[in-house]
Amino acid sequence: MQIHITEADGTPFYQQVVNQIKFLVASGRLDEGEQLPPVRRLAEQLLVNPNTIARAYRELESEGVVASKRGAGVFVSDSGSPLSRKEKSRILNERIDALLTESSQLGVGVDSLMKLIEQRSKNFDSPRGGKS
Amino acid sequence: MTGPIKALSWEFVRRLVLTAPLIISIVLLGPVGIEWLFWAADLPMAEADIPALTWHCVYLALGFLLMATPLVEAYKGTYQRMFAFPVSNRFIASWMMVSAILAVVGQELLVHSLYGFMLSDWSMRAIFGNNLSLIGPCQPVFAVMISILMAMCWSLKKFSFRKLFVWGVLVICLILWIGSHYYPRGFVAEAQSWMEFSILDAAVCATVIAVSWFVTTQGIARERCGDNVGLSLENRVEVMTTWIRAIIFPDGVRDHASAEAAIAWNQWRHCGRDGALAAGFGFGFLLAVLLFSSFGSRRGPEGVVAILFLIPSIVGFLTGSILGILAPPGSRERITMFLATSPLSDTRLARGLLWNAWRTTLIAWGLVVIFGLLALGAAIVRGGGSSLQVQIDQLTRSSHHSFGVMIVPVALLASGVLAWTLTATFAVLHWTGNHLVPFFAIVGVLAVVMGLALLSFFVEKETLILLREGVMMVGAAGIVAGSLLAFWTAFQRKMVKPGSAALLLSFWVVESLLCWFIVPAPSLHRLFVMGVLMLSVSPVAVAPLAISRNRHVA
Amino acid sequence: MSELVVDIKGVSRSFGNKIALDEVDLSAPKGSVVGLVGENGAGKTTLLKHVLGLFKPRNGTVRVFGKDPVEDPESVLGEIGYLSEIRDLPDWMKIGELMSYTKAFFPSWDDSFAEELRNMFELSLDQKVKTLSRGQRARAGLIAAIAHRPQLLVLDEPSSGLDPVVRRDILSAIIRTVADEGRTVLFSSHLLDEVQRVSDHVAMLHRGKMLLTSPLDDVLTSHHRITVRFEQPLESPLKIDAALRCEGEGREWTVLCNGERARVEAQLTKLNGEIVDRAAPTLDEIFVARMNG
Repeated sequence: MQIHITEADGTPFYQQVVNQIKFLVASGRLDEGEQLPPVRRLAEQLLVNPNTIARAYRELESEGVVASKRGAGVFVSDSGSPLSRKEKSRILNERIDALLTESSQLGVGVDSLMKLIEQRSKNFDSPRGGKS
Repeated sequence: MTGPIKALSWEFVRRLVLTAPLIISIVLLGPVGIEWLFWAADLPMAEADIPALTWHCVYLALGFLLMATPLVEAYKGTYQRMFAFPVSNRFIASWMMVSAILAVVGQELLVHSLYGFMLSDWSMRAIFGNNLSLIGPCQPVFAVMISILMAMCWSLKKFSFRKLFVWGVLVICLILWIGSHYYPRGFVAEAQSWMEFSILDAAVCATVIAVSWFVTTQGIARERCGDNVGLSLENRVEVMTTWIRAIIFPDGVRDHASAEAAIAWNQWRHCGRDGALAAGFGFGFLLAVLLFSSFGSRRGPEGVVAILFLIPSIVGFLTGSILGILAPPGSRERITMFLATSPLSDTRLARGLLWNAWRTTLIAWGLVVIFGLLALGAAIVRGGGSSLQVQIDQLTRSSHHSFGVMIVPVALLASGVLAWTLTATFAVLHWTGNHLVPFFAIVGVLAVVMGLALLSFFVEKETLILLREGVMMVGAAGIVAGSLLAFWTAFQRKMVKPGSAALLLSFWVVESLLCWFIVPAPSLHRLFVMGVLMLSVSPVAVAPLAISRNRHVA
Repeated sequence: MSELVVDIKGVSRSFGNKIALDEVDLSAPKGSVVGLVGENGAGKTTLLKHVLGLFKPRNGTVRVFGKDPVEDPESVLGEIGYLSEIRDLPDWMKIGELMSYTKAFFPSWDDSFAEELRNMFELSLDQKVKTLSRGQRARAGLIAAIAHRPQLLVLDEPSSGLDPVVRRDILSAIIRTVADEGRTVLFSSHLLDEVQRVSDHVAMLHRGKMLLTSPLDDVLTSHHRITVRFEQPLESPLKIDAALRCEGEGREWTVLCNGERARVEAQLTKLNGEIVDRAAPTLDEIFVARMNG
């Protein structure tokens, strides 16, 4: 599982882990029912305090993104749950806000922006072939 | 070129100020110690006539100690820094040679004059011959020896057997040349002191120094541009010893019986083993030479006995000083973190260190004894069994005891105890972490001896004798009182068990009893020796205190 | 409140005129990773030496596992693994000898674990310490420090001067230690990115005084970095009372403050500044701001 955390980001490490796992789930790189690496191993891989990972897992669990099975580990929940759709919107909204800020600073209007998006999507090859 | 010279001179003087006093103290210890022993045993020096050559050997051998410092430094690597500066190889060679020669000749002159101050006329004549002038052949000879040794070191940094052979031949020629001044009529005739320094002598010295300088410059040039890497004598020796060790100790790694054993092993490998072998072989050889040459003389065996006590004392002192150093000399620490963070109480840590001290002393002293016995045996063979009887008879007569042949094992045992006493005392004094303590101990003793020697000019003999006896009593009493106080402190801090303390004190009692019967009268001398012998047991109790002071900075 | 493995209260120490520590408190709860940060010469090594019992506290108390490390070095040091920047392993020792030597002191030494580490670090039994590079020496020291699975790992600037690969090894060792139930790590470093990754408590020493001791998360969330833009370039450097540090040039300035965000922003607005960004500073930025403040 490829996660990268950095100090320069400004967000706490656990939040970065949470966000990235959510992204992996939402984009399908983590399948439903797939097991997440144990806290200790992920901590060693990322070189962060295990408590950070534990906290991230707890938060993901409370939001229903993952579920822990007693003694077996932590697994990705079914993506059909409504919360993950909410997550998808949230992630996209963040990206859209960033894009809007950028274009406003560059002096590009919303209409021009929409045209650019259409243009780009014609050349775009979606990896999952367009899910709703 | 004044800038670098000024800077280097400053550094040179700073370093010398630290090392010179210690070396001078060690060199003074020899003849002054012998005189003290003679005086303490109430033997008139003139009658116990050790041949002049013996004294010369002692002096020259001790002189080599003086030479050790600058050469070790030259070889070990302080020159590395100079390579990075804008100075030529010739400058570096000149600087190293000149500073080394100045250091050694300077120390030699100082020691020579201190000898004149502290020793009786008789000893001075024995060491330096009838020509007692301060300036003589000694200085250029030392200069030549240093320059040759330096040139050898630098030349052999790129080792080859051919070079070794050439150097060997040169050194032998030099020894023969020096020897020819002592035995002008061949080696079988009587020895003579080297009195005059002729023009020819000066020319030889100058040539040797010039050639050595040239060779040194070449050696430095090679070292500077990296031509010597991996080719030095050191590397060869290391490869050879590794190979030998691999054969003798095929699987070197084994578990340790206890934590104390591990500490003892660590210290043994760190400095104990090499120190014991060096001291044992070096001083053993010296003892053999002295015994062999002095045994034949019909002038009383007190000299022999004196040597039998002097050599182990020096060995003990040196071993104690080496073992006392628990941190690298340059560092700020007084004990390495490696030792200090051992999960052991101060008592157990001290116990491990003492175990190693015991083993090192035993081996060093054992080697010296073996050499001594071999020399004694050879001397008896040369002189026939009768000479031994003559010696013993004379000793019996002069000391009013009838030892017979027993004197040999008695002397051996006594010398062993003496070696251990000095090792333990100096090691523990160094283990306090404050290296000034043993230094001032030596300085204090020397000051007292010197003071008494000075006083001999101003007071009458009877007063002087009273003073000496007074000093001895005060000294012995002080040692006993101090030791008992140390025992008590250690006991209160639970660093020594009552059983161990009782055992140690009973050792002391046994030693004192033996002493009473062995040391010749008057009883004052016996009491003095008993007091000093306290130092053979008290360091064992004091060691944990010393380690504690060192390890936990208050 | 979990038990305190290290409990230092009110310790001071000076060397001659120089004050190394001034009424310093430090506590390490069981199972935590405490990062001790400070400039060179701030007193970190002196403080850690108190933990090891190498300094007798002149005032204040030092308790490790509830005991005094000076009085009871055997039980305290027996549960500590120590690795220092100085790396004073004896030059002449071979790796194999070092391992069997260290084993003699710690009954809990695990031979198979030590072997595993040795193989992982690619150190051979016959190599002498003298021939090792800095990184290899650090690894050898690390084996000696952790192979007996100590309850407390004390590291003094473990990563200084080491390449990233060795630093990974050391950080992994820290994480593995603390991931094992109930073991604690106390380490000093001036590589703040490492401290930020791996610690859950941070203690900041500056010129012998403890500036702050708190959980890392609290430190990070209570400090703010505010970017402000002015209409006109400023003639003199920006000074805000409530802020720790102001940096910048001309029209754009960055202000770092601790918890006083509202006040700072109010002051900036009064000066006609426009707040363009608010972010959480890195530990590095917090450290620099506090050192210079």
